[in-house]
Amino acid sequence: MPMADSGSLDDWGQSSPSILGEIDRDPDRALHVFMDIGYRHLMVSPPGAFRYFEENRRHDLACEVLLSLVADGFRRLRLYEDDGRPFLGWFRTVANNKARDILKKGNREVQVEDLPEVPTGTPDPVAAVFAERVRAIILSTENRQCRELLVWRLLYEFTNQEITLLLGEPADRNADVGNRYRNCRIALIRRLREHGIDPSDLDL
Amino acid sequence: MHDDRPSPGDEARQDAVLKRLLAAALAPDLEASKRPSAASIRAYLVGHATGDQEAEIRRAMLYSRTFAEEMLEYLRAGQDLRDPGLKRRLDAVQVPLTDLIASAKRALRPSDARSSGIGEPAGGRRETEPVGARPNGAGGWWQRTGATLMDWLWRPGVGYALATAAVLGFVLLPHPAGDGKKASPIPGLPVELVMLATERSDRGIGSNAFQAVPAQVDGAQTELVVEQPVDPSHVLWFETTLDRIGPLGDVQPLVYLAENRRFRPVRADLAYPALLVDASLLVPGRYELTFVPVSADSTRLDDLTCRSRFAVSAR
Repeated sequence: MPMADSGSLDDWGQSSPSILGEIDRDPDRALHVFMDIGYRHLMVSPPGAFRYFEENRRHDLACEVLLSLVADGFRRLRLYEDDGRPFLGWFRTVANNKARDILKKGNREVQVEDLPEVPTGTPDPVAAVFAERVRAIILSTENRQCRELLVWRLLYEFTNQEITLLLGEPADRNADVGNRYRNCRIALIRRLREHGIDPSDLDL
Repeated sequence: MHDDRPSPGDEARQDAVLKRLLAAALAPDLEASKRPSAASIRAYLVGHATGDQEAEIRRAMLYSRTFAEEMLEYLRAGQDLRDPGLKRRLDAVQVPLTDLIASAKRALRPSDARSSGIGEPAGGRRETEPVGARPNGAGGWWQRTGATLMDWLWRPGVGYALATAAVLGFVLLPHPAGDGKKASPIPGLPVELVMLATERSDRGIGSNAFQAVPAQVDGAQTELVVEQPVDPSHVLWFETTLDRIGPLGDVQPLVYLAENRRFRPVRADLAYPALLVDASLLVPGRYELTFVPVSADSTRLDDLTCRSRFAVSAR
């Protein structure tokens, strides 16, 4: 397979892009190319976590991501390991994680909830019994995809487009995915109500 | 006819409640999840996964947000690379290249700059100041250690879900019992350790990763290492606690050491906190391990507290 030009995004589609080799051969050029392609890509196709930032902060965010990768003699970039997947995916994942890190440590007004933590502190038997009931109801969902849609939309805050991508469905099915999610949501609420749990009445 | 459709305000409130209910329902399943194999991940990304591989990936994406986000970014990368209109949109972006390059060169330490061939005048600034970005707060050795930590954290898929997290590499090692001779196997083992979350106070970051670490515990004692780097020339010991978390959230203290001086050296200026425990303590269940570093002048460095939760399950 022909090597892509290190100055093109195609190069980043390789699992072993030539730009990484240039870090030692021609670091000035590597820096220019990396900053140029990286910045363009982050601005045109921002990773998911960038959505939690105002539009006018995305430039700063992109700069922070790029600088963090090249600082200290490209230290972080050198940590990349070829695992057979495209370098561009690694770059996007790192940028996404960096954005989440910045959110958590510096942007307290934006709340990003994580998965549940292991409960600690004084046990509450009533709450535990309630949680177990809810768990049984949710896990009784026979439709596996419903569980995925509910978790990905409600907990992970993915968009319909993103869920469509995760499911490996054609991009034009995202409206259908949205409809399926809404049906699953309604079904879950009905099932909870059948068991005497009305989400509208709960104050959690 | 009864209308199930809520008003927009009610829907948002319902969503918040549903979110919490789902979170509570999911929690017990975290420990049962493992990172899928590299082959399954690659096959799923190119749409060639077998039924079993697809089920493996989908389950992991359900129970780990970190993994789901990693997959999403790789899938988007593939989508972008196939997008015929992307080049035109990329070309339309105005890149502040001069500013970016100048900032990048400032970010290079002089020693590294020499070795990398990118020059920086003597006496140039050593600390990174991103273009237009806010400063990162107080500098110092802990910041440098934090930077080192982040090196590892940002490698997707390293250990497991690397990304936002603190380290996932709980290590359970056999420990020789006297004269290199190993003690009898502990009944009920081997076990599997599953990292649930790790966070460090100064970074406010946590992990949803769930690396499973199969472990054959054949020693009387086991070393638990949390790969959160500290500088051993500044941290002399850790106030260390290991608790078992009961099914109702009740906490059972297992170990408390006011002066735990056990480190796992990584290099001269870097080490991981470690705790040597009786392997028999690690019966299947959930645990929380906390290291509070203490400096040479006996100051508790609460900001650097590392708290890790993990589960032990029978294999």
